[in-house]
Amino acid sequence: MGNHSDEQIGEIPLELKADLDPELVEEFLSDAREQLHNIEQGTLALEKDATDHEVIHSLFRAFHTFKGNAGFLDFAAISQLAHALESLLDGARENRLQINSVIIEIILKSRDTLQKFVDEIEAQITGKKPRVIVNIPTAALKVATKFILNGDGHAAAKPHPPEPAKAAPVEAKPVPVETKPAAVEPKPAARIEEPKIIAPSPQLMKSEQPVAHKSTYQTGTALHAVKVATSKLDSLVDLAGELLIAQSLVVQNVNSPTANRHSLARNLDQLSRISKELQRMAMSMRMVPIRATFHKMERLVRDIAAQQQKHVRVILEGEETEVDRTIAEKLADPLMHMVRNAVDHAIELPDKRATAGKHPTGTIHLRAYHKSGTIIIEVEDDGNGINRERIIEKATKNGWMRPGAEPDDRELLHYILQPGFSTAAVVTSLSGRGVGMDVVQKNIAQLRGKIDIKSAPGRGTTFTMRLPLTLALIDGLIIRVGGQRYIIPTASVRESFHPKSCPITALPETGELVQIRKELIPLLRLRDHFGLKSPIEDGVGIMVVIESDGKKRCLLADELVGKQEVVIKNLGEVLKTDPMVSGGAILGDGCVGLILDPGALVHLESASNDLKLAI
Amino acid sequence: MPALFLDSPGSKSAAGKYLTFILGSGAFGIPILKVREIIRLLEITPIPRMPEYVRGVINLRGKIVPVIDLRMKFGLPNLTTTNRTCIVVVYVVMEEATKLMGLIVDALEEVYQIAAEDLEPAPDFGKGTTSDYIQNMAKTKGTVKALLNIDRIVQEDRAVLPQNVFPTEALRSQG
Repeated sequence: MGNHSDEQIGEIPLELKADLDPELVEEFLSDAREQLHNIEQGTLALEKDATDHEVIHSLFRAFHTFKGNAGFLDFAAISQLAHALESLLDGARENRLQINSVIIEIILKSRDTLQKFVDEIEAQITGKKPRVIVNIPTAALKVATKFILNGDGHAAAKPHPPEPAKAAPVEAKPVPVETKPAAVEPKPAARIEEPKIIAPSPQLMKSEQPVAHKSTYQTGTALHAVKVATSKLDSLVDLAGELLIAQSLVVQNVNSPTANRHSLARNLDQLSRISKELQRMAMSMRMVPIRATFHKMERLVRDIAAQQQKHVRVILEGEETEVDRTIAEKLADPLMHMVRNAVDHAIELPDKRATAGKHPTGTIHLRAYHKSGTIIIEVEDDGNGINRERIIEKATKNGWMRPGAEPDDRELLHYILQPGFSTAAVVTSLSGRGVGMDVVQKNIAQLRGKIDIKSAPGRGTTFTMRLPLTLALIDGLIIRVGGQRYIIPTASVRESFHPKSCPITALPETGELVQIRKELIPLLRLRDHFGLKSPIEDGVGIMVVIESDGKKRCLLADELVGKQEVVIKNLGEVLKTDPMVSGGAILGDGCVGLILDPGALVHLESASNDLKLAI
Repeated sequence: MPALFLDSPGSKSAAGKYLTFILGSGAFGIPILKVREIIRLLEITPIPRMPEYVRGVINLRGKIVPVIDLRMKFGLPNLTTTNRTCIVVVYVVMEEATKLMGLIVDALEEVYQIAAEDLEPAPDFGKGTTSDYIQNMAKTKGTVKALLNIDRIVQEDRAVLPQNVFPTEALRSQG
């Protein structure tokens, strides 16, 4: 397959023809994503052990599949690039080439380029982008593979970076950028000759426990289709069968005049046991190992470390821990922020680390494990720790804390997570250059999780995220408003108290404010807001303070009914409800209770005031 | 289950079995294949800040199903519920997915086979009236029944109707 006669070296535009079968494209995309993941993981594994033939083979196969699939759909740009890479790996497979950092860089850059193609195709096929012909530059990469294959490979195989002259023909080809905004990114080839490709030194890697090595080199998850282990599917089918049997036993019991209550009770017991098991099994189908999410971080660390000439290794622990599919997806962004900040700001340059008596190679631990009904995700670095003084300085300046106070780590974290925090100059030594940690806070809150921080100056920082096992269940506080019960997620409830214990001030512009320990929180009278005609009497009811996105609101409800774990359900999806109602749950008596969305409630601006004026 | 949804516009394909029911003084029909089940009036949980005719949601064996009051939706005078009042749970097609919705009706009549020759196009009572939801008129046993397009009712679930525009009298006199 290395001898295709229709090889093209120049740029080939990507065009989605009008008669393209969307289903085939869907299939292609799903497969492509899996291959991309495989390529990335394989390449990272190869970086650690360049002689692992099994990995080279699998990389070769991945590009080969890519080429075939893309060729089938007539995506010449993709298949040509995949073909170039396939040839390169073929060389390595037949020992004509020695894998080195330059080749690894080319493979990774090609993977990223293929990713761009895949993203573009997906955007166009789903209609998110108009169907236009786009140019994603591939020529430079193709040229680079040619150079390496045509004997320049020896030069490239030397431990030194390839001589800059090699890049000249690559750069001679201008890359058309008009049609595609994404193409403005640095040309892949331009980076290939950068002399700062710093791989973690092999001896270091060997001294530690295996780091996402062969054992974890497995397939990833596709975006839309769900992959479920056959064993899980089998048990589900078994359970469904058992359910039928148990159900027929109960029916028999009821129908037969001779049956006694005991056997009925026993059968009902069996039925409920099976239903519970069935529910548990069904839920587990939504679970995926966190591995794929962690692996993305490995790649990120590698790239940033290389850019900054730092030595960083990633140690994954508990990557087989299963989390809800949605959590795994939504976790990617916050993790990315934290990991990037850790490499970027926390971990010092090798010589600085050596001076401080630390190992020149920094370590980032990514950990996942279950603890008392929650999933814990930890990001631990052994960098310089958070800079207390500067956070305090900044927080004082912003008026968030009194001068001279001694905040603990938790309070410091609270400041870091404030939206306005990371835009300031403080951040350079700490975390995030404008890419705020408030994003982390927001995503974690969306997942109904909590975040915690521990930091020791000079020794490192640990971020700990606690996430619910599943998004299908919610721990709720049940309140009564009028004749109805409503559920507020307990995670966003701060406190509740009797309305008499705090003074209420009313201003024409702001509406009513409740003063709680010198803090003024806007009040929302739920009866008014829900349009009930009879307002609650003064001094009666219960005040519940909720917090979301760092904003607080005090809700006035009639009564606190209790606390309960409920299964979240949608409201049938037929009606467009007010955003403050995020779903429903079936309560103990079989009635539906509505779940209120704290995010929508705290962001209500003047709605309550308007309504009050109207009443 | 695409074969379930036969009520595409056009009289010919609209022939078939209909579940007919009473709302106020008028008789209506919906294709029987759109009906999932008929249940008694359960306890309905109201949803705040919704139009009045959206009565709320019910627990249909563990599934939450929204319920609308067709009488209010059509701007008919509000009658108290009787023991004949019930909820017809129907399939609605929204954004290419099939969802469930409950319709509160005054009383059920019967399941009636309507032949193509009994069908007449819905008279045009002007825009913004209930006739928007009527797909066809069916003449049966000397009365006229309005055959409803359920999907359209749902699509316009936010449209506010002027009061008492429903042409009940016009229907009667035609029969």
